[in-house]
Amino acid sequence: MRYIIFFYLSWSGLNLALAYDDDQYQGSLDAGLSQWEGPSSFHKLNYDGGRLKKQLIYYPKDIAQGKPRPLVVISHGNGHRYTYYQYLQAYLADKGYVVMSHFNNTSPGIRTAAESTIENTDEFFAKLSSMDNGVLVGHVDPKRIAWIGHSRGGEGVVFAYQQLVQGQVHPKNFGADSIQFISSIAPTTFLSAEAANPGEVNYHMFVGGADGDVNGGPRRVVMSMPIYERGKGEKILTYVQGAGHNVFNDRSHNEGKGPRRLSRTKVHGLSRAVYGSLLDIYLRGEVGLKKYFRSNWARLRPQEVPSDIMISNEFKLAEASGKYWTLDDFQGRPEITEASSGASVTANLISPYEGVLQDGDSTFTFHSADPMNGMTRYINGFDRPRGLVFEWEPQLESSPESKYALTYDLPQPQDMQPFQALSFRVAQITRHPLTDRLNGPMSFSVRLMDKGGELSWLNTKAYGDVNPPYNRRGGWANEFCVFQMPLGDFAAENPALDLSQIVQVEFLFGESFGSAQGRMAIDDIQFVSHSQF
Amino acid sequence: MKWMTYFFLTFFLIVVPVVHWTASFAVANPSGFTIEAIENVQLNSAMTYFWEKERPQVQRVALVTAKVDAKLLTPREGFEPLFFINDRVAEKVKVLDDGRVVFISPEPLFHIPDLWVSLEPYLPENMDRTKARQLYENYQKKYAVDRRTGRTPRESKTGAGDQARAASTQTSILLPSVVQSKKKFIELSEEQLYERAQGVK
Repeated sequence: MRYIIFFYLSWSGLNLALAYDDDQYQGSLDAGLSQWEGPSSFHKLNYDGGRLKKQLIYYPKDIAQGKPRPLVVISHGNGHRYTYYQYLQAYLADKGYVVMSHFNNTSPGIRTAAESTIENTDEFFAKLSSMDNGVLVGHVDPKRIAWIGHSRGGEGVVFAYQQLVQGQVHPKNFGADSIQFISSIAPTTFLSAEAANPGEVNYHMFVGGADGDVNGGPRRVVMSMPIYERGKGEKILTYVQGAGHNVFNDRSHNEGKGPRRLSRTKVHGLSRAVYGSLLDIYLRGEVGLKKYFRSNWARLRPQEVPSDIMISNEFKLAEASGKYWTLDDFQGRPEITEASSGASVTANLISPYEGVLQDGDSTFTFHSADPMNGMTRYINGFDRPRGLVFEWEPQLESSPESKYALTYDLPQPQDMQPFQALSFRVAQITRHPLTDRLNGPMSFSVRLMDKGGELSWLNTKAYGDVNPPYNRRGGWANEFCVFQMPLGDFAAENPALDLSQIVQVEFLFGESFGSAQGRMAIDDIQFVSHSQF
Repeated sequence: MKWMTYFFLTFFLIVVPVVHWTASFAVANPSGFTIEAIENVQLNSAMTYFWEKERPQVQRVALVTAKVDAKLLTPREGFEPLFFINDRVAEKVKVLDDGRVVFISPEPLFHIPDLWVSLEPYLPENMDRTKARQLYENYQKKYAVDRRTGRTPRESKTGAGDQARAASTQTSILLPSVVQSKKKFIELSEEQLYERAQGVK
């Protein structure tokens, strides 16, 4: 009997030991630092303020010289790590910025991510004296901060800003007026339009056409661009055909989908070039660099941006800037025949439709019942971005007068001399038969007429391209491209044109004026002023 | 010979019935989740549990190591599968390469828990206790096996549209007592808790 008991106890003890092996926990934390080694003009340090406040900081070696440096904060996405942005941190530190990337509590959701951004920014300033023997104390400017967020972190930084603006959070060491610039890389859209709203801050967004995660499909959560549309400050969008989601960091797996996919190296070069310029603009006041972002990138882009990447870029002045006169932004007056400025509109076009920039059936397949096919600019909220879509077909004979035109007749002559350019954004409509038939960049012409009947017209081809949609599964989301046509060029084309008495603006389509056919969206037609152009 | 007799008697009279009896405690395992280890932890001070909408302050938690369907573990920016331990959202702390995961349960565990996953589109920070309990009830109705009969109440299998997938509570332990001694808590700080979870290999 004792053998039975002995055997039983031994056997049960063995199983208990196997199940509860207390030795399996080692307690070490994998730091996961990447091995990138760049120029040695910067230092880097690790800060450990506890589980939720781990930071990797890059700062220039000459930090003690000159004025206090701006701070750039990077908030990573879900499943990413704060050590995955060193390619950018090193580059920006080399340019003189202090760059702090922090652990971002994204797994529970966006609100916790936003808290991470705020608390880590506050912690950074609070604990400067404990970092590298206080070498940063007095040398980081708490009034010049930029937030860059990726994915859930990209939505998180926008929500964090809203919380500051609304007074819902009160960090000790900075405030809403400290945040000079926010950029979101392929942000999610979990939150409401009111919560995930950039408001009046200078705002930028990166979107990758080959994104396999926040994939840009016409559904909430995965389409990023509604956040861009909500912004009322100066804003820029960079849509990169062929860029996936994770290639914007150092390490995460390559999830991209679509043709002509861009390598991580290529995207990193683009990212460095864009952020290097944007941060110089908004944190250092180098406004001359804005000319690149106002221009269509098929014509003019920052030198460091590779020319073989197809990029659809947008730019819009802040609503409060007062530096523009809007001819038509398609808000407020639902009838096609009347522009938001009060100008009367004649649309000699096929199937003109004015409406919310929102795909009607959550697929990119074109149906005639879904005129806004491919539009991913609106999910919810009171402000609904609207635009005009239409098409034209090849004319049977070419003619100096276009059969197809969008004509604005101003109620009274308008003095355009205070402005430097006519600006608008346009997009080809994805998977439409005319888009497929065109199968390439689109162009058209713009004509101004003064009170005396003098005309001047320019072709958009000289100022950039309306890119075809990224050819992912036959065509992905519609991509707006900005055009800025200098009024000086209109005047040069016809010196008799009187810019002080403009009565008509006309967009002309057809073979004599650009592309023979196409389906297009147009929005935000403005005369704009810049200090430099 | 005597020894052999004792061995076989022990095996067939005691071991086999015990194994059969404990197997009836196993819950249906259509998804192949397996709990490998449970450790109850007493924190030296309460921590905020961010994975529930209420953000409770918790001081007694459990570390749970389990093997789940690896396809459920690919990190995503959009909605991710939400794991539950009983009626509480489980915090996914570490994912290992072979489909093993280390979770934190916001309450200690003294019995084998139900580990299951919901595909409903919720972020953890939006999942409140009421909704979690409702989802758990749904899970139990569909998938929980009566421990006496070994059958599910509805005898149904996971189909299209079902938002809760059954998970296993089969364990590598064949004895009924996964039961942790109520006195056996490891004492850790919050930081140490996460380090311990990260240290699982």
